[in-house]
Amino acid sequence: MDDTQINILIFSPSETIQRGLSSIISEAGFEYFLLKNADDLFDYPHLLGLVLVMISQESYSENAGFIDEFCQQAAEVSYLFLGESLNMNNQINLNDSAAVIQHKVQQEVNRYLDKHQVSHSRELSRREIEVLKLVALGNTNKEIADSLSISTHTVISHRKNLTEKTGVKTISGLTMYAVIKQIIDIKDINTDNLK
Amino acid sequence: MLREVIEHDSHLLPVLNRFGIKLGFGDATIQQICDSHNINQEFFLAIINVYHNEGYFPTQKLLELDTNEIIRYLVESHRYYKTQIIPEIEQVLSDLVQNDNSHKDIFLLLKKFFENFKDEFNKHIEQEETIIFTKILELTSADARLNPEEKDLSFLDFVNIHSQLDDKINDIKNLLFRYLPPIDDVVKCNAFAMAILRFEKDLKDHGRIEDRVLYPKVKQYL
Repeated sequence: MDDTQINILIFSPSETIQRGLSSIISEAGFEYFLLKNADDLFDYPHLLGLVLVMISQESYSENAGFIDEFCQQAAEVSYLFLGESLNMNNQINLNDSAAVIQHKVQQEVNRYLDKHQVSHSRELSRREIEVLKLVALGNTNKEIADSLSISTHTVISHRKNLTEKTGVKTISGLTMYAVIKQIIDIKDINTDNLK
Repeated sequence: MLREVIEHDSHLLPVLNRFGIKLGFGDATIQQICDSHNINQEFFLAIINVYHNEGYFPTQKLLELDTNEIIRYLVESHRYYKTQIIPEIEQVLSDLVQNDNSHKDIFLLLKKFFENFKDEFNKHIEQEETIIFTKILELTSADARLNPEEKDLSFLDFVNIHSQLDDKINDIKNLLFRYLPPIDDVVKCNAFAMAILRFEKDLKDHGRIEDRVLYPKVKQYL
């Protein structure tokens, strides 16, 4: 879930550039953080998902190592370079119009989201549905393993997939999911056990 | 002016209440309000900024804050959960069970799920207040540098329980937004959705302050 976080860091010692870019970025509907120097990163210690850094080439060569190391929990750190005579795709010319800058940022974000969203199908397999049913009916991993004649290790792996695909983590949550999806009937469960 | 801060982000209003600040502060500045309520302005600003901006967490600054003040704030947050947001969610769930005939079963189940969450949650905050916070205050009070053999830190294991409670609220949110069929009672359903989102966000910030500020601070005393 946290892979979908998009963090845009506007890294520039110039207040003019910070103000200009931040108003363009917020107009495009993104959250941004303003950094004057690398130390400011300490105020944002838990960035997840995409960290898109807008930065000049000079600041990049001084700070890239530090930024990459600092954002280790993020799924990806990518850069858009700021300058006055730049024309490549991953570069922003400070003379560009707001629309062009927004387009370049959006392109980076889309590229990231495409890469991270197609990774797995959300459809549950037949086996996963069987495991879900037994979980919802209150069985332990051992009991599920016995009744499906598989190892507990396999049961645990099915349960991990169930949580990844549905986004639901707790047993009571999975039970509710099974009822909503009509995989089990509400009459078959003991609602006192919804823990 | 504090008024402008609230106009910009109205979610901060319940956070102000925890500092004893009520709506009706007119055009007073943050400085004036902090002075008249006897609040440390640094602490106040740190907390509202952490609340306002999800990515912002100035660990170093927060670690310099006073333990007593942090605990007082956390206890006030507990009170807000117990007396405002949890009853609000319960009420709206009861209404949904009564009014929505097509999905009665689902809401009954959700209500049960939430009741169990509430019991566990209340138990958790009670233990936190009576045991953990008391121990921390003992540990950090000036005259009490404990002997090494008395430094029992097992109470910090308690921290893990947070993530289980967070998981449950997160599940309720996911079920509501991703899997529930369309609900006819739009007003109640929206109220439920808003309350759950607010609660989830509040708990996340609350947990961050406990796990990343309060407990690391305690460890400094050892």
